[in-house]
Amino acid sequence: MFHFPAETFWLVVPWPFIWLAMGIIVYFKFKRDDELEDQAKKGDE
Amino acid sequence: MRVIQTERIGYERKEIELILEKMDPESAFTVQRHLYYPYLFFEYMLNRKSFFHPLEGNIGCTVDGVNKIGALADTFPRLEKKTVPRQAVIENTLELTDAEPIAENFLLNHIVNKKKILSVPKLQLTKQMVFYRPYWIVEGKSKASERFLLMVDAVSGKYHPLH
Amino acid sequence: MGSDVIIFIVYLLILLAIGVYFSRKASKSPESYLLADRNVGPAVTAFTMQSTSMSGFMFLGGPALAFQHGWFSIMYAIGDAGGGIVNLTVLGKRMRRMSEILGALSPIEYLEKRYESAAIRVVGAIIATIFLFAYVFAQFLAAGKALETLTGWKYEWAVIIGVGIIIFYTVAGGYLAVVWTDFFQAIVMLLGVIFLVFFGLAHVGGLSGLNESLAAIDPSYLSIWGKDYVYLGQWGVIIGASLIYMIGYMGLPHVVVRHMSMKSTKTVKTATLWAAVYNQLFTYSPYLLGMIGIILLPNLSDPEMVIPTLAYTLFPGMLAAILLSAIMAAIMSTSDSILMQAGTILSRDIYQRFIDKNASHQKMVLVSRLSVLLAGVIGVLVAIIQPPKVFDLVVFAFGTLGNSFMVPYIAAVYWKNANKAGVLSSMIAGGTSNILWTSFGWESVTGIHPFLAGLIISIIAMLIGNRFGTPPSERIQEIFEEAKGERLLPKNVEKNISKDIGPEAKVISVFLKEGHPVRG
Repeated sequence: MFHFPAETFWLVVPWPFIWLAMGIIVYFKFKRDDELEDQAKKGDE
Repeated sequence: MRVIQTERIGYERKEIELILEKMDPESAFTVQRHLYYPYLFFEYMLNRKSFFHPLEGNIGCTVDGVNKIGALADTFPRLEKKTVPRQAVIENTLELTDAEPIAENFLLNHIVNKKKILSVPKLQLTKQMVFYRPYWIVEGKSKASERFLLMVDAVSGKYHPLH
Repeated sequence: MGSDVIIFIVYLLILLAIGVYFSRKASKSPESYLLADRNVGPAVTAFTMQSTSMSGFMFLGGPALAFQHGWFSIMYAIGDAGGGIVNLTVLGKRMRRMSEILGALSPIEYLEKRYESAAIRVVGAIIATIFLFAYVFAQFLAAGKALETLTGWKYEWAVIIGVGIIIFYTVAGGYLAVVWTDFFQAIVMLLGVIFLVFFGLAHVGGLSGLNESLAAIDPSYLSIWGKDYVYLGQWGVIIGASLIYMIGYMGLPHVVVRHMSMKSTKTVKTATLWAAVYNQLFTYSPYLLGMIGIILLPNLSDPEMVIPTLAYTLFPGMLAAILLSAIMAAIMSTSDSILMQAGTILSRDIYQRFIDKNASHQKMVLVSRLSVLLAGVIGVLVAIIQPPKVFDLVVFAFGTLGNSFMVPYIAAVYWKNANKAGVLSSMIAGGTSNILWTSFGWESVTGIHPFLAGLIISIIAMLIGNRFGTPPSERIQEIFEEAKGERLLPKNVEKNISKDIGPEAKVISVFLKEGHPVRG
């Protein structure tokens, strides 16, 4: 695709998607952390 | 008993409990006692005539009487004389003369950092005094029946956990 | 190009006006200004963070490498595009908690307090100042070139005048560094670069066309092994090139300091998300432009001029001048904050602590001013007598800082028993390896990138050195646990803690436990 040699294609093109995915995962992880902390408190009852 | 200059209480016992309970309805809060913490207050007049970074007016700095750390004072403390039990007072360990350079350095650093100016504005000392700020010691109990202690600034309502 | 000089001056005046407007507005009462939380949303925060890193490297260094090597250069971009996220995920919360408990104000002081050693502060401060200045020198070179294109002056004069403006601006006060001017800058540059990429790609027939034309000139441009396959099979170079910006940010004192001043985790999470998106838009573009330059500017003699020349080729003169002015202003604002950092470290961590303990504030300011001035003079001399490439200099300075500080910063929050002996060895060994590797060209002999070499050696040095030190004191071990774990407080209570009364809390805790007054 895009006239890339296969090696270059697979080493370069996935990265933007990996970082975007990681950005989203980190966002939800931080968000979950906050919520989990809260729930752990309630769940102990 | 002893007589000290204290800052006027802004939040009474009951108010603090209510505010905290409103913030976290899951927990119960009870004020256990109160303490007086020493500060040294310095007020300076700031007069910097500059087109780009004008700075004029009064600026206050409190120096923690135990840790010897400066902090910006939001407003001039409203003080009153009060007779309080000796065991509720944390002893001041700092003289005004020793604290003054701390305050001045703190303010200058702060101004220079915040405004990114490399020239030093002139500070003129206008007032100085020692006073004690009241803190409430509050016990919190979360529903998970974990206990924790908070100290609450009785003037501003700021708080921090105690370990 | 006389009219371009006017555009540049007008641009600077507009920035100055924005800066002065907000600065004066905020100055009405000193308290409110000094106490003010700059409450800008996460999107603006991420955007401005972006603009402060968009400096000479991005506009001159990166494209130059792409112009010379083709797709190999994108390895650096790959790391850069994810560096912010990695940095935040790894150090983020833990470092914030730790520095809060330690009460450290500067990133070097933080290391000193965590590892309980004044030697770390000295060594750290020396490394940090030298390489921060080296980093600024790269900006000086870039400033000279940007101004040269803009004005048509001779390079030497452009450097002297460019650096002169930067130094004057730093010493007089950084008006441009107000959040809103950064924001304005970011928009101009982002739009400029996006349009450049858009028009550039349109000219060469899209990504496919670009690759087709590159292959026609030299197929090795399309490989990840560099032009003429110079790095063929050398994974040590490829990995090092992508790691440097991916993890190197965690070793930059002026970057990690952000973790220390982070306010709410809420802003941080959203800012990360925004940064992840902006980065994918922005980091790759300068390199793409470098490659477009291979095709559109076959006769270009100085690779670092790719973006300026492309701007004048693809844009009407006025727009090109505006873009260049923005680049110049970005260089100024980056240099300014790094110069200030280096000056502060020098005056506070070295001068006040070891030379003159009772230095007055005036004297300290004088010291940092003089050091900034001296850096300017040396910078000009270097830039005129033997100018290195912007790219090489940045990679060198950035790499050495990363190799010296990354392991100590990570170990500080992830390895409880990390002690001063380990950290000192790691800092010295890591920094030295990078310097040796770079100056003796060991990269080509070993097939290992200087950053990767420094990284491996600093880790080994940390592991070995640590055996010779005494474990951290009990207090530090307690703090470590505390920084790691969750607090026992309900979330809503935790959220609104006022960190500024932390020191008082410590005293009161002791007072309550022991029941008698505490001596400070």
